[in-house]
Amino acid sequence: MSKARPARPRRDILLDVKGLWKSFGGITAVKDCDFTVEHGTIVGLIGPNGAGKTTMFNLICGHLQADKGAVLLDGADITSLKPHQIAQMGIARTFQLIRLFPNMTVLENMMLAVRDQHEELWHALLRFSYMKKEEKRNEQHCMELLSFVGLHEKKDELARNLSYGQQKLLEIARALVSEPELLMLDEPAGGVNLTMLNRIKGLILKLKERGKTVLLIEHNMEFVMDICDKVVVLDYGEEIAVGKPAAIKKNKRVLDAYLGGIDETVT
Amino acid sequence: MGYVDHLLILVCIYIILSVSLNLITGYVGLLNLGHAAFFGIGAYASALLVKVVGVPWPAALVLGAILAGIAGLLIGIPCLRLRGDYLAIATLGFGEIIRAVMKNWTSLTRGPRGIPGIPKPELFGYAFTDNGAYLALSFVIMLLVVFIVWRMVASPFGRVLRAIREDEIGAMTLGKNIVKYKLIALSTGAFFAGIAGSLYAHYITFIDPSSFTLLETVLIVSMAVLGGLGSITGSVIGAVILILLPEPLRFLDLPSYVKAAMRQIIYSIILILLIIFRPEGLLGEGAMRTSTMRTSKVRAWLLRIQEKVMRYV
Repeated sequence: MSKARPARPRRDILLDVKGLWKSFGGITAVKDCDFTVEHGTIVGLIGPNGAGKTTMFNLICGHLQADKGAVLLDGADITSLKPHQIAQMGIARTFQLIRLFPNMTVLENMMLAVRDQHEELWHALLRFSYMKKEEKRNEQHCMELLSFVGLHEKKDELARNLSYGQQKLLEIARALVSEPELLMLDEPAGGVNLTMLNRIKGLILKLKERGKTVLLIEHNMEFVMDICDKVVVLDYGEEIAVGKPAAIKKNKRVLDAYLGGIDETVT
Repeated sequence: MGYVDHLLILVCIYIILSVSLNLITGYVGLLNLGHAAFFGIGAYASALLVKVVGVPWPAALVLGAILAGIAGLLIGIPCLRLRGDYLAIATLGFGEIIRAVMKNWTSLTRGPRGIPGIPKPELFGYAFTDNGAYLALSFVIMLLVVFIVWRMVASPFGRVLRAIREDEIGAMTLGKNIVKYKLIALSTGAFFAGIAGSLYAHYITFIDPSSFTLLETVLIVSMAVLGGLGSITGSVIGAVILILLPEPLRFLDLPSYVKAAMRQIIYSIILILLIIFRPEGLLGEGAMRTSTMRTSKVRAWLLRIQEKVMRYV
């Protein structure tokens, strides 16, 4: 987080999704979706189960190939790039199901995410001093991020001994190791208790303060409405609404999709 | 003391075997039931190179180990798509194939009659015929192997190995080439087992296929498991215990067939007790850092020693 990015002419729009389509056999999971994510904002992607949110994430990150449409990151076309190339362009993501290394320490989990480090066999055997220095530097960087999410005291704890919420925090911290431009969180607050929910909420807001851009999927409406600058609503792969949280709350189509039109408000 | 020297030489050889198995099974999580085959390839290759071809021993040691390493690579390429039980069965089959080759390629290996009269190693004109000298030689080689494996695992490289054991897909997502790492681990593990094979062949001076059976693999696996998978110190301790523990039987006044059976019974009892009381092994990775562990005095003491040694490595 401490490293300053080189100054370059910034566009307002960091991520631009243009007319994206994806179908699996007869089912169209994502149907002609258009939305943008502006620099330094938090954008929420919501919708009922099966609406195509995770598919959208996978399309953006290159885990799936789109049938039609384009994804632009800072003006560059990343639609057909491979996941690791997209990661190098500056997108990091977390998964809906936690993917940590349970029998390794918190710090080791972080260190594994460091890119371009000396982790070949001959590096291990020779161990020149510059490699040790690099390791120290990486460790420091990881510790900074751990204290950012409040896990620095747990650095030597095995990941499996963390609570569910702490594991979620660790995953977010690990996604930050590579200094991404855009952080994509798939249900960051799914299944955690209220205290942890607020902690994660505060964390994401702090990330925004530090100039990060966040795109997140979340089912907890209060959470989304509280922190997002913009909300994109999907239903059966179609984008049914885009706008500020306040407007989305009153949108008739959104209410219908979520509640079958019974209730008047989304809480 | 010829007898004590003999035991300690065996301990050194088995430490190399259990540490190299631990690299493959404990760190990368590849359940390898063909380790005795790598041991055997090293032994046969080194013995034949010295006795038949007339290669000097140090070269034969390295060539035998390289051959074992190549065998590891060859078994690894088709098998590394497999995991867990399936990989275990594949490596088990590999071990049996190698034993069958040793038994049936009589023009090369003399089959079940074995290779007698393997010369003792010579280094700069000095022959290691004396047990004391051989012990010194094995000890130095053992230290070297343990040191190298230690360097491998206590490094960013080793961190990737353990990550692969924990979650292959997770490691892949972080951009690690897991096939490459698995092959490196398997072939270096096999390489070290080949070194142990050469040490064994030139010490006993007679080898036959019966020394490299599944039972041998099971013994090596037991050492690594007893000491704790994912712990180098554990593997060393496991080898020491399983070699030395049945020895007092020799001094009991019992018929030899009873003693042989007692040996197996002792191994079984140790393993059963282990599985009940410490499934992660004496110094298993899980035991080392868990905050909820019950710290026994002995283990705390062992861990302290390990820490001190680590500081110098």
